[in-house]
Amino acid sequence: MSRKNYKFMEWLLNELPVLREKSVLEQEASERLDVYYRKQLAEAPSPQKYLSGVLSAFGALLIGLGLVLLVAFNWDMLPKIWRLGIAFLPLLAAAGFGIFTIAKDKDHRWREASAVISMAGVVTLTSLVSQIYHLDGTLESFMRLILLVTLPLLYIFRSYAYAIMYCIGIFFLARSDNQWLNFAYFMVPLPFLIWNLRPGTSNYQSAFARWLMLPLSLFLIILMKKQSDAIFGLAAFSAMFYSGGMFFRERGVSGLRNPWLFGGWLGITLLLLFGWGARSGISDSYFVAVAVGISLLISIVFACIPRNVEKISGVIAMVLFMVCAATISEKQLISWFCHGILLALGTANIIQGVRRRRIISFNAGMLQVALLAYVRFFSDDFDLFWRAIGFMTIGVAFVVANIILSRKIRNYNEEEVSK
Amino acid sequence: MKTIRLIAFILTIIAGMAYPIFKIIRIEYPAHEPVVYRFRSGAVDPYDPFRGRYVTLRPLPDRIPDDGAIYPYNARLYASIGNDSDGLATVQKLSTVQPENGDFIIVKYRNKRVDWENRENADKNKKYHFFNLPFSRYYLNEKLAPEAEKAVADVTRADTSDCILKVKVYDDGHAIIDELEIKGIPLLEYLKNRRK
Repeated sequence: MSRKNYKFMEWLLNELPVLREKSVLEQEASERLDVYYRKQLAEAPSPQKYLSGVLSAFGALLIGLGLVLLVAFNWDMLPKIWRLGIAFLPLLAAAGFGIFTIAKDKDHRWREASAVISMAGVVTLTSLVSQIYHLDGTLESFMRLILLVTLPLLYIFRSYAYAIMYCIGIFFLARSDNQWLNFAYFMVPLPFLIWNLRPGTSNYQSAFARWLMLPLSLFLIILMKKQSDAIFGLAAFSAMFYSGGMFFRERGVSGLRNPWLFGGWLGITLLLLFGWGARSGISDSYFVAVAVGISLLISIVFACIPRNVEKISGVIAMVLFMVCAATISEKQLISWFCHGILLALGTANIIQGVRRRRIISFNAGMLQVALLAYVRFFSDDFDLFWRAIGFMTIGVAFVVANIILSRKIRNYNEEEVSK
Repeated sequence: MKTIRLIAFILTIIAGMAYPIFKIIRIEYPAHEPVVYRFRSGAVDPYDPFRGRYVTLRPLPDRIPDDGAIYPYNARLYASIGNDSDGLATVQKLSTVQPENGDFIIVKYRNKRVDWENRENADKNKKYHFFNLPFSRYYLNEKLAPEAEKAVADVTRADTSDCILKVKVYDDGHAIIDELEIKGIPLLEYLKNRRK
């Protein structure tokens, strides 16, 4: 099932009278299209619906934060038994609110608010009891407990606000040495996010899931602890996001709704430019091997459905980078290899951009080659004059190449229309 | 589906309450009455974003002389405790197994090193096992905490035995702060007197 493009539907509805007037469409067909697409638009989820959901979650979040701050004030003038009683009130109120939301099958605004307030209730109760008894414990162990016991709220209320808080809270666990336990915390919200990426979900839901996958992946990379291991993780995730971003772009998802594409491209470019500096042979960590292996496997799946040279080239570039980082110890040699891979990738992007008349691919390739030229040749060895000349030359090359390509694309489009 | 969600939500709320209730029951209704020990202490005043302002205490003793044993960093150890002639708590021994007799506290092992705090008189040949006692936070009202910090700092600069932590030690090795006393007076009372 393909993703519905509501903006295109609106455009088409505006075009129908013109098409009818120019006798491109018959009256009857035009009317049928008009009825069909107006019905589709009427059923479309409106941006206001999501905005009101965001606002109700934000309101609930403010209430929750207010509760936490009230607790933090420390009401030591009250007797202990009173304070213990008060500690339970927010969670009991949240329980009532949540039960009402579920029992009456309330909409997503209620669900968001219920999830956030319930989480705030658990935070308040746990904090107050710790405060009253002066209990020791780190922020990490506190967050671990809160995230563990409140996690079902994500699935019960299908709450995006909770998912955001979880993805922020998980970073408090990063200092722990228990990689596998943290890996479990990483895995648990994944089904929710993957479910939101499936075909048929709204653009907003899937864009949200794509954005949240980025900090989650960053968390996994941080878990790798050693810089050399993290470089492998970064390479694997860059490949995954690049091919995944391409996969979604082929399905009409672009711009801010597809952060994977830019994130993956940026990761690949920076790693090939500078990442070779952290080389140190093959990692002996089983955890790193599993994380890298799974993300590479997902990259290959994205790259092969359907097979596409641009997607595959990104994955191959990162595999080659990892091979270089694992096997080459000589600094000069590895830098030449990595920069050679970047040059090949940039050139391939330029060629693909020209062939497919895609200005973004073309500029992405141009930028990769330009950055490479800057890093390789405009170091401190060159004086200011030559660096200035170099910058201007690259700038002129960018502008001229874009003008030529834009003209080519325009001519091609005009030819297609005249046919 | 609605029923399943309702049951799951109620179970989540119960899970959210379980840990605090478990703590309250363990502290308020122990199987055996806890024993109160008095630990010397110093203090600084930081902030916890969720639980508010507290005075970080440095309960003493936080070391015992090296007995040749080797423990890994962060190891969970059993510290056998007792009282000295002044009625202040002392740590007599560290062990990886639970002592069969006497009171003990579960501590986190830090390291073995020379006591460099006393720089001028540090004996480079004498090493100590350093550990963290499991009570280092005394939660206070936001307005009182800086005042308390100053009071504790003033007092402990002269003599750490003027700042005493009364700690309830339970028979399973857990310990919680009962009171923080300055010059024999509970902290809040001491601060009130100081204002007058």
